[in-house]
Amino acid sequence: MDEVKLKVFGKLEEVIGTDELVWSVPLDVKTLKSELENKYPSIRKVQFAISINNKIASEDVLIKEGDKIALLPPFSGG
Amino acid sequence: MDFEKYQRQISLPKIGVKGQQKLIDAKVLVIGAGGLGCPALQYLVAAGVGNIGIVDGDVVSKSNLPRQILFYESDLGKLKVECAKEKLMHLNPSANFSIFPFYIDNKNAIDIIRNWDVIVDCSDDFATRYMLNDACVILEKPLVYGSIYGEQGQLAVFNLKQENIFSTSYRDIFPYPPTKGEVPTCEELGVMGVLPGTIGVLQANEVIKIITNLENCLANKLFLLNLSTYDANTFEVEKNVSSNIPSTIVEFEQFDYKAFCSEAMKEFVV
Repeated sequence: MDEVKLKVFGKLEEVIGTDELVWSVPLDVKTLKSELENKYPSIRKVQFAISINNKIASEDVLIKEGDKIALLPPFSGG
Repeated sequence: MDFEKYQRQISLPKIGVKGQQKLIDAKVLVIGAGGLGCPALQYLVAAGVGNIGIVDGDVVSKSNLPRQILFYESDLGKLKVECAKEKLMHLNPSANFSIFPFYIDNKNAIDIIRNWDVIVDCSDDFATRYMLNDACVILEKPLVYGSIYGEQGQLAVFNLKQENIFSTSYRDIFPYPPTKGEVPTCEELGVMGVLPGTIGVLQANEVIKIITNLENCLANKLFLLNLSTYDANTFEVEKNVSSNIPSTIVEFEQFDYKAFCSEAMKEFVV
């Protein structure tokens, strides 16, 4: 099956309930974001960046099988 | 130069007498004398940075002591900037210290930041972080960013001029701030002092690399460290067209950072 791994950081770990997800390959970053929002409605309120293979990606970046994906919310503590 | 004091650093081929002199001549401004700011300040002053500015309007409270390691029980109720200066002067009496015993905001930031070479973001709220980022872009100053959440820390170097091009900024990663209550503060979430301790020391490391022109500084990158698992990840960052930074000082001073981040410019460093 065509899958990708999502590593989840910071506050999103609590919202999603785990630090790693296996996901069916979405078309692109925008699709991934809306799929995540459908499954976890409360992440709509959270701002986060998405990286593909360790590169912060814009919404139009395409995703393929085996890509390493990370969901990166900002931290504010100091 | 005190050769005896800095002998171990001067012995490093990448530093040498030249690099040490750069540290002594450097002007570094640390925003926030809390969990990140205390260790960053200690290592910067210990390394011989000759001109240090500290901005923080807060006083020392008891719950600060487990991580804000420049402060002692005898400092309770005193201004953090004064306590920090007093300790750091013993570490390097020949350094010049400038203290700013108030909070930085977009009305005073330009005047405060203008005179420094490197700015270190050790603040603890989003409004300050976005405001500092924008001020540093407008004034063309490198900004060393550190932040923490739970057991995780983020580190990056923003807006560093390399071959006449400025590296990415905070808004290239996070164009929009979270809404109020989305990310809890250390107060709500709790924190062990070793986390800001580690990230603050790494911020000092990036400042030293910038001043001495060392390679591999975290420009155009975002570094994440998990102190529980020791997972470390470095992400590449590119310019983001949707990053919307005020383009003039007037625009910057009129921008409502509190509303933008929908959170009050509250207590600086918890």
